Amino acid sequence: MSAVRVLCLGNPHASDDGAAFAVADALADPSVVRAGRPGPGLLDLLEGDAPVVLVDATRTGAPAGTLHRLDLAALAGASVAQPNVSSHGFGPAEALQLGQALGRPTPRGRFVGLEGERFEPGSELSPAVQRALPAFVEAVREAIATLE
Amino acid sequence: MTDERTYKVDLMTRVEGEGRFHLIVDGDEVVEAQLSIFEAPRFFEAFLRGRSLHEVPDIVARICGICPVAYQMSAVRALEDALTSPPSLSIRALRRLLYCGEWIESHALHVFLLHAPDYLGYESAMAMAADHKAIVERGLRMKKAGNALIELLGGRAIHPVSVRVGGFTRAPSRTELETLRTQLEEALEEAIETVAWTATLTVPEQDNDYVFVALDSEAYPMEWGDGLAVSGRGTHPVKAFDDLFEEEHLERSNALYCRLKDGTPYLCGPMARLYHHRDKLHPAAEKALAATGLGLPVRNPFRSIVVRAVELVHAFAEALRILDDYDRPEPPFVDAPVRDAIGHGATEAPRGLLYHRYAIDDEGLVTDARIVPPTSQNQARIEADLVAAAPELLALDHDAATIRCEQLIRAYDPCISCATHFLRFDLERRGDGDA
Repeated sequence: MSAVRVLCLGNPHASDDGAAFAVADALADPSVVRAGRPGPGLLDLLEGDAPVVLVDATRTGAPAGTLHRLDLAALAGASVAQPNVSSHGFGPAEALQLGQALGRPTPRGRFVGLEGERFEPGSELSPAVQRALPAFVEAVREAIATLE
Repeated sequence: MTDERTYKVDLMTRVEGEGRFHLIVDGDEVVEAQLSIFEAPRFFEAFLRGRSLHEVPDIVARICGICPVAYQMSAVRALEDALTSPPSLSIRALRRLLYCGEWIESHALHVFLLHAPDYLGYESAMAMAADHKAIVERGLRMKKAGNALIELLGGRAIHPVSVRVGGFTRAPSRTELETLRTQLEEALEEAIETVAWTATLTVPEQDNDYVFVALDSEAYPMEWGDGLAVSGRGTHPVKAFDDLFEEEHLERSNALYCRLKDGTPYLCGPMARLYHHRDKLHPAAEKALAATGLGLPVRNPFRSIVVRAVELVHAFAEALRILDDYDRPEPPFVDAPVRDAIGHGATEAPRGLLYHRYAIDDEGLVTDARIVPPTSQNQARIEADLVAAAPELLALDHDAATIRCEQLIRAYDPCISCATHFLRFDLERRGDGDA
């Protein structure tokens, strides 16, 4: 079994968009990839057989601090109904959907998202996201464990 | 002013960033076209004050997820100007190589995944990919080649970290660079084919009387240039930026609106670069351009897709030329003594001119920062185009008008926030206008 790859998306200088980077800090594991906002470049990061945990801030309209847990396959499907499931213009759902359209296999894995409320420039997480951070980290650990 | 209607349309996708476009129409007349954008640089200008000049390149790389290199290039150029310590030719070449990577990534993304779907009749790259797999895969291969360049020179593709004031933290060996040669050569061929392909696309007609603004440089401008070329108005030193242009802050937008001093909007970016510097294109790019038979100068923003493809060829060919001539900078950087000074720097981001100015004190701390990104410079021009297109827009039904507006905005490749998210589009019709 290949080791689980953890990809943290977002921008730590865009307030709650940095939530996944806070998870990377908490995991303190050098193999965790701080992927930023790769857009369609996420497809390159998803190449390979190892299962993946994608971690990101979301903006779906849910209350801030809400956790979203999805299979990667479901995340690719989610973009049809919710084009802004991610906080990025060309987010992970779009990248997965693009991969599917191109006939590339969607890797086995999980998406763990935390709903944010502030995405303007700034390094501070909103209070709601800060409060939810321990649960976010735990959810990522659980996702890793289920894939190992 | 009866029968006022506001149409709120879906999220506009396939542009970088966040913003809102609002077109207000009364009868058959455009009352106002507003592109409201939110720009991260304003925040970063404040954030930079009090920081060491050596922190600046890493901080500004966070402004934009698409063009972090551009922000670094303009920052080090301005800071080295303040220190009166220009980089060596070998460091400049390495920076140019890094910049080629970013141009390739940005242009390949725009041409294939954002712009082409408009002309092939798809609402998204995902929809287009199902029917045009080979085309999209070609775009992704080119993008990946650009990414490989950035990875090698920057360490981390998304936010390169190895650029520093005075040079690079380390310079790659020739052997390391050579690992990219085959990938770049193959991508160059694909870029040449891309130029021919983009020229076959049927695009809407438009002919705008642009003032073109680009960096003035001995080479096709990227990382280096001391002048600002303004079509019909001569060439001016970069440090005279504020004498040439005026920034206005509008209530509805976080961005500063940039115009010529006399109020005229202007255009920067690929079409402006081609206007001023066509004779400096790499021969491979010039040949690909000539083969299209494209009328010059290009004044139809919908044709910018061809110009970006030409610049893709230029960037790949230029990268290979730099590989051929590579002279590893030794040492990879020079440390110049800090001084109390103001420095100016402009480089050509994929989207156009990116101007930075820093004031530093005698301890090397930033006391003032100013960043003018290309999208805020093009904003007034985009709005003018939308107003100019109004008669055509009003002849279309609501959905078609919406799509046409989106396409026009997208043709400029706006990096709407360099922070996050989407552009929303509202079309408000008043009076007799109907959807």
